[in-house]
Amino acid sequence: MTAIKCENLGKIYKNGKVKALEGLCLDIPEHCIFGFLGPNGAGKTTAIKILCGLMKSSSGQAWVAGEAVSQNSLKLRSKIGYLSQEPRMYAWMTAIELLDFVGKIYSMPTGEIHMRRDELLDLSGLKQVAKRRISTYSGGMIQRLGIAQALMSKPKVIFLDEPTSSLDPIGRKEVLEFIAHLSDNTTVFLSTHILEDVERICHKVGILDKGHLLIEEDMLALQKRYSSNILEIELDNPEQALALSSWCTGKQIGSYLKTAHSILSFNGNIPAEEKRELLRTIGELGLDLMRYESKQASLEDVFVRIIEKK
Amino acid sequence: MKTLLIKEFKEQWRSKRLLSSLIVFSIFGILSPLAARFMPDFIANMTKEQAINIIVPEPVWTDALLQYVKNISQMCSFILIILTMGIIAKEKESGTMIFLFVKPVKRSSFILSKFMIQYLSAFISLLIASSFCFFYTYLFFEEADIMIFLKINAILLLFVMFIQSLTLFYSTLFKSSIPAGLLAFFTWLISGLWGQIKVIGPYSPSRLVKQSEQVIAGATLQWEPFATTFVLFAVLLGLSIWFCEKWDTE
Repeated sequence: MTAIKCENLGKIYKNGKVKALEGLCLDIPEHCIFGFLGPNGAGKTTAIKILCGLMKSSSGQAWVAGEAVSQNSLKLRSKIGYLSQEPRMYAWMTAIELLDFVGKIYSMPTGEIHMRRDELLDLSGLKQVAKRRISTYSGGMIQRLGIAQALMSKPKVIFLDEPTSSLDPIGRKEVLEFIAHLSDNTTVFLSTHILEDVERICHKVGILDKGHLLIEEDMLALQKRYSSNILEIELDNPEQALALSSWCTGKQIGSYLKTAHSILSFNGNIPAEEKRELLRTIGELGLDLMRYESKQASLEDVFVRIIEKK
Repeated sequence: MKTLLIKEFKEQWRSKRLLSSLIVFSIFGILSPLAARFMPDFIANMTKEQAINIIVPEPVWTDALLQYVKNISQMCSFILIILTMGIIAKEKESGTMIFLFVKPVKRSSFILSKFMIQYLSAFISLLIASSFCFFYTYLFFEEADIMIFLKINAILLLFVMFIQSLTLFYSTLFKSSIPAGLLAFFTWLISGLWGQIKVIGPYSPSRLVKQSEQVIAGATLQWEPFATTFVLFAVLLGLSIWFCEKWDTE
């Protein structure tokens, strides 16, 4: 079953000059954690706001949890949960009051509200501070409470917009572990620009750049398709890296990628003969080799390649 | 709707807006009969030292009421604008409006709950202020007509509800409370000027204050400012809902 479907979704902002989104097509199955990747300003938040019924699209149509997406649709909103980029909740409430309030908005029976609230406080690790005002919470606690409130009504789909971007490493780890457990009961649409987060928990990934969807694929298939060994050579200083890079220009050694500081990266399965030639050249040019490593391409490498190819 | 009303009332209480309103109204409820009773003595004492002889008529209980009407319609209305100007604008500014609107909440219910709780807050504040005013008027002048008290408070309630509706409407339009407050203040001033224009003046909501004074004087009331105020209630509420429905998170 499809949880989220988009057909040529587009958004042009009022002044008519900024195309935030163009021809977005998505097909996300139920119980999937979908990583929506893209650099800042790619159109991720715009897409989420449209899918949540907070913003009108300029073109195309979409369905979430079987409901046609339209601005202010109560039916749609009763089936989704949403956590904004910077979660804003009523700071004068306690976590218990907030979750009870959300439960009542969804017309849940009182008994169910209390059960669900306790379950979510436990799951989010906020039980000990549940009677404290939200204004006293740290960024990580607010983020976890934000996810908890978005899950209160047991939504079919939950949209999380950059849920880890403002967190410290410990807070980020906690939130990611929390999200990873959600797919048993719900579909997660996770927007982020942190590739490591997607690599850790997502089943499927979409890459958006300047309003265009560049790729939508299963995480494993994507990594497999773009999988190749990356050869990294680290030299003593950037000048030496530049010298080797000049030598490489015009040579066919794998597929030369980039030079960053004193590191040269090569992509592709380089034949043993070419590797030997590289090492020989380093010796002949009198360069100081600090590191010579062959590794698997990460999502970051895949992301950079896709964006650059475009 | 009930959930939103409870949330709104709690927010009024926790943010101390309701408490501020109660304190301000109470102060003017107490001060009005006090000023009416002791101001002539105060003036007489001040002028005595300067050898000026001013004859001030003996104050009566209706002077306390006139003072009360002036204080509520001027000072308290101004304070109400300050307390109300951020009610909706701040929800936009802080992002809690998005938090709410992504849930199955009707935007019309959201606006209605805001208007209703503000009206309730004005009602409670006025109830307390008028109780103080009645008590001290009776204490100082040993007479007071409860029916007149009730009538002028009903008219004053309409007037402060108009000021609140105006401020809430502007609060719906802006993302910041300052322009909402400034516009409400200027519209309040304009409605005062409107009340001075010969032909259309009687229709101004600011004339409600004059009606309170008419009640004290035992004169006949005019229907025009009441009619305009009720029409404006409906228009301002309707427009607030309309603008809120149209609000895009862009």
